[in-house]
Amino acid sequence: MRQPGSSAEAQLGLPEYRGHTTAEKFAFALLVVFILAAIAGVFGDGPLSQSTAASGDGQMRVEYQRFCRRHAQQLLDITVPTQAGANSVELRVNAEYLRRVQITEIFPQPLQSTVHQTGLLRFATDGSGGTLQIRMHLEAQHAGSQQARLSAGTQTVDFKQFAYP
Amino acid sequence: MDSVLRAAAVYLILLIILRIAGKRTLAQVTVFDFILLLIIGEATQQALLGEDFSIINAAIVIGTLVLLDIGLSVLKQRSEALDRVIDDSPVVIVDHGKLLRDRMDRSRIDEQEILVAARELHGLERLEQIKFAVLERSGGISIVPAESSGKDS
Repeated sequence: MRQPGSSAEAQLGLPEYRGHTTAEKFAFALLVVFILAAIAGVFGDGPLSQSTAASGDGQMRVEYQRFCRRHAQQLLDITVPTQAGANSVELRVNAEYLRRVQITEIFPQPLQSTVHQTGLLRFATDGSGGTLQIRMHLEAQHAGSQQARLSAGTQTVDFKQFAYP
Repeated sequence: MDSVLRAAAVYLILLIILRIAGKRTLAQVTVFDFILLLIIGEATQQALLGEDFSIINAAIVIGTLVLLDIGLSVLKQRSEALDRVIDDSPVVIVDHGKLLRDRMDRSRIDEQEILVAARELHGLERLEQIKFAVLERSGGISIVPAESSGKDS
């Protein structure tokens, strides 16, 4: 029979029941915030992550993800201005960015691609002027911050990404 | 966002498939069932992670699954109807030594399985010694011995 004033836990030699501890409540709240942040795109692929960078006059634009994940596919949608009468356009990618990412696919296929001080990609154009849409699939090879500089002719676009491990 | 949606979709699909499969499927795991479970796990992993093997993606997927499970258990606690839909309810399959065949057939249980549970749990030998046998929500069979089961005699 239970002693008056003693709990079942005490009778059974168990620690006193304390309900949810502050640490448990905090951990649960943290989990909820973590998932909401993931939905919002803080860890890549979401509205907070999607961004656009443009050159000074806005003619060259790059749609990219501010946050990406190491070894996960990401997209760069690049809009490059082309000149009337020219049958090709060159896109340069800075060496630091090329060291940190692996380009897995490019559409349209470039006529020529070389890597020296910078990466150089040459694309065919129809000579009518306007813009060329280029889509690059790439994977970050290292976690951390990476600075990209893409240029075509006199247009330059700079943007920064953070790759999660 | 994609990882959260993928994890939620896989959770829902598994919930539906395992509910359709029934309670006994996981309760009595044969070697083939075990292999099948491994294959299901492998297919699920592919769907959950895709080609993104980053640590942050794994954390998002695990967090989403755990959060959904906690959320669903809270909802089940508050709604008896939802609880029954998701986890089903216990089913009496033997009533005072009499087999309830239609319920057994629906749950894919045979007499031998009931006798095994009776022997293992209470050392009973015959159906007449069973007052009730219940197929529990967990998929196990629990036995209530008849008062005059005479197992001690």
